[in-house]
Amino acid sequence: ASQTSALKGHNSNAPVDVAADRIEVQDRADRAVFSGNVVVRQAELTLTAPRLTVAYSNSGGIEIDRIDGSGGVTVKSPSETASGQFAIYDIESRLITLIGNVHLIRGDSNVNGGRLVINLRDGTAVMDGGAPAGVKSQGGRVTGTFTVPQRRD
Amino acid sequence: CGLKPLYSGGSNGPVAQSLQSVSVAPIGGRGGWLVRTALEDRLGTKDGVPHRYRLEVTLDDQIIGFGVRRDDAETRERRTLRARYRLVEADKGTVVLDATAGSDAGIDVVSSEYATVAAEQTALERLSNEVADQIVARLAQFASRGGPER
Amino acid sequence: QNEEIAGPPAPAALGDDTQEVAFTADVLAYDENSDVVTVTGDVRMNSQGNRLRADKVVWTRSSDEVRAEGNVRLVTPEGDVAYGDSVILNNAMRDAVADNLLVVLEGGGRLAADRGERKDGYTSLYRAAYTPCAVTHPDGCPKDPTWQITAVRVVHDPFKKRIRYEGAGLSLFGTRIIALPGLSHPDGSGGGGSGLLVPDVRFSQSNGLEVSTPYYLKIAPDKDATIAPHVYTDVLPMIEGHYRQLTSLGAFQLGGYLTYGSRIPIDDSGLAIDKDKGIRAYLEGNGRFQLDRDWSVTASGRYVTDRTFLRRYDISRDTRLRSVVEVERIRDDSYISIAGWAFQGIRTIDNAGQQPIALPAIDARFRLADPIWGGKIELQANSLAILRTDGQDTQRAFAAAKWERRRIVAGGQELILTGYARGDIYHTGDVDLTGTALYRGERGWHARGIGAVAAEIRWPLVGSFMGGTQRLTPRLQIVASPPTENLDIPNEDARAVDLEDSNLFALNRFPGYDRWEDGARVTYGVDWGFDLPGVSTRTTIGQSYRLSEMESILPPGTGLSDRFSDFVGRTTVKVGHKVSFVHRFRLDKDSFELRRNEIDAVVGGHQTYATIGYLRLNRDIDPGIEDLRDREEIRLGGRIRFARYWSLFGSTVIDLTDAREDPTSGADGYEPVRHRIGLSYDDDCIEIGVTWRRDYDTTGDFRRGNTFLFRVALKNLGR
Repeated sequence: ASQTSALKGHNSNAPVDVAADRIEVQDRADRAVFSGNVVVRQAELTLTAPRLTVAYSNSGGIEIDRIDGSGGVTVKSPSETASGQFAIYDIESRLITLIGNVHLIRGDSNVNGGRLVINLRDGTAVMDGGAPAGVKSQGGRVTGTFTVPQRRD
Repeated sequence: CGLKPLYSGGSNGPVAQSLQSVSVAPIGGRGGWLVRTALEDRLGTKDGVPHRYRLEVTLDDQIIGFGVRRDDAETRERRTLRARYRLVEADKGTVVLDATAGSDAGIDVVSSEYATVAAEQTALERLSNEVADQIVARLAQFASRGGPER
Repeated sequence: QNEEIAGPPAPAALGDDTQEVAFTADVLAYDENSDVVTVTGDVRMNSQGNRLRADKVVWTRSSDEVRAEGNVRLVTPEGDVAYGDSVILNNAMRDAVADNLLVVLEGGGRLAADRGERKDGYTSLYRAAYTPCAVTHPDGCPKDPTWQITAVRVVHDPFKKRIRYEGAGLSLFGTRIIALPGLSHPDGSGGGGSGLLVPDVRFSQSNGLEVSTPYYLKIAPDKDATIAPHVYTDVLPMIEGHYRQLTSLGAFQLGGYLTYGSRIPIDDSGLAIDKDKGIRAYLEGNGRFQLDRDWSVTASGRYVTDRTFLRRYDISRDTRLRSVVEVERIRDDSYISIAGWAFQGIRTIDNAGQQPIALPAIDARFRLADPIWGGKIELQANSLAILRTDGQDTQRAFAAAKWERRRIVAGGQELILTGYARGDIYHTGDVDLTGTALYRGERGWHARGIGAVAAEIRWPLVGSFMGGTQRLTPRLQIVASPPTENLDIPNEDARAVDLEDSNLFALNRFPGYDRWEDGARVTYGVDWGFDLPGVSTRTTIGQSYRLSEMESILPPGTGLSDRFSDFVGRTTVKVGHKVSFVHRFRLDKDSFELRRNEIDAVVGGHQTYATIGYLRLNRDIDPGIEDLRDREEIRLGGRIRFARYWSLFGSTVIDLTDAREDPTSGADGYEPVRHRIGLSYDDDCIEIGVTWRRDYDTTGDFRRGNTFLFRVALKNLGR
């Protein structure tokens, strides 16, 4: 009864369009800062945040390397929705990382924890307490519920 | 050797007065009724006086047989009446005294069983007076040492 | 972020067919390809009251199988706790299969197994063992449980609250002793269901080897019954049954023993006539019902078909069976009792026709305050009818008023003034059927008036003494009562006359009402108490002097026959809970010989103690009176606890009466009546005991000799 996640086949090289109230381009730093209802779309993936910084490299055309959202970021895909304080979408390594009070709702199970790393290449998602790797998390716990079919008895 | 009257000051002395402020909670059964009436007589509980203390008593009344002849027939009995009592402050409910009292009386087993039963009942009446005496004496001693605070 | 990990939020049940499992863990990894969720790091999961804890949980969404690994601990809603290395769960964690499983039952037992399976609440274990015993010493190192039941398959059924075994065997102290096919017992959580109780094995001289296995039947939460068949080698089997029931007003219980056998009855003349066969039964029942705040009914009945049945089948040692129905009304200022008594004497001296039936025995008392002098008045109305199938019948009624005023006078003395007045009416017949002349009275109607006035003064003095407190209370009492008719009144309830410290200061030193001590007398005594923390002693002694020269009706030897009474008193010494010593005595006023000497002492605590009870009655009362004979007896008892679980106990009763005390008894001064010696092992889950008892007297078909009792009780076997 579980549908496979739509993230699995996501194409990170698809074109990215960004809409926001204001845009401030810092050319020398190869960076653009969007603020106010920022919405970023790439294929079926949408990312919304109050503030967004896009880092791009300028060799030939514009190629976005990394998107940083802050102030409460929501990442939506057809099969799940994840939200957290900050989000880093490293297009190069095809990793989306959400940090701070992270909620992942997928079908009828929802999980919350300190940090979520979605690996678009192999379709895995790892959620943990949010402490930097290797340090015993200070009680940063992952909690949540998932539903299990119950045999009618 | 330093003996002085327990009830110094007579009936309006401090000890007698504080005894009158004790009300006795009901006690179950025939023995309970006898002990309660004996206590009320000795404490001088009057209805008008405000009751600052409540006396709660539980009784344990047992008859054992001994003086056994060869055919296992008992020839003597002993009735033991034990009381465990607590003095409780009526308003706050704190227990200020928790003690026990008790005594026993010997009874000859006679050939007429009803005469033995009657002797057991008479022994109960005398024991309830003796137990009431012991309780009131202990309360008086407690009151004469100033009780918790007067 | 407090360290204590808050449990996962209680899952809301979504739909009927799905069930939410809430969890908390350190890390969650979700693999898209295999659609597997892996949760690691002190994982806690909760679903429908099943709580699980494990190091790692892998949930394969496709197959809905949840596998928990590493220190798995599963707590069921019923409170049982299962531990395992790896557990596979499905159906919302309600079903599980586990390897190397240990279940700790909420009722206290332990089930361990190579493999366990839990399906829809049923736990079944394969190659399993059940034991309620501790598996570790108090200091924690593991120990072999005292006993355990091993089985091929064990099923715990939480709905019937029972544990069923297949291919089970009991092993005791590590060695397998018996197989237990088809064994099942309650799991202890349901408050004890029906089931077999502990078997009782004994050997006795009269009946040979006896085995009885009681069966407990829980009929309803407020009704239960126990049925125990007894099988003997030398006599026919006996059936024993008990029934208990709670009702809204009170509770009652009934019990009975029934067998058929040969007996040597003792008839009224005390001679053992030849053997005969017949039904032998003993019935008993008692109950108490509180009808409302004031009224209550208490009833108790006992009946046996023949005199030796109780002793021969070791049912009870009582030799006087009482049956009574009593209605009581108790209020603060009044007490009313209406009772009916019937007795069955099974002593050799008892004569059925002489057994009194008291029907009715009414006693009513009303208390009111005395408005004039501030004392208390107690009115009493009493009536009694004694009838005997082959003896003297007596009817009595009296009304009495007692006025008493207690005052504490200036010097701290307690002054007690008493006035007593009573009017009696008696009627009696067939007086010549009573053996003792003093009890007969004269046939026909008699009336008498009784009056008495008394004044008593006590002066309680307190003070310190050797670091403790002492209390000295001298007492003086004067009683005056006009001459009263006694001897032509039948004496039914004033026969057990014995002067002692409890009745020295009583208005009437006779028990009951049929005899009144008239004349004027002065009674004096002193009471001294001394208390140190943990030590309390108390002694009292007193005597009375009859002022009038009137001949007393009290026979010599009762201590009250002359003008000076004997000295009576008592000494009590208590040291903490370790030592208790009580000495009661009556000292002859002339020869200072001990007329009554009773010593009771207990030394030691709960586990290890010694008790001694000594009684010597040397009253030399006129042998013409059938009662108040003299005796001497010593009772010893003791228990020693050693090596933590073992204890040795014993008791003996020796009749030391000899011709000096009771010329008629023919005893030679050293006649052990019985003794008992036993050894018992008692730890937290088993109790084994063997007792040797020896009775020294043959009465009818109860033969003198040894009785051995064996007792094996498997504790908290779920009952």
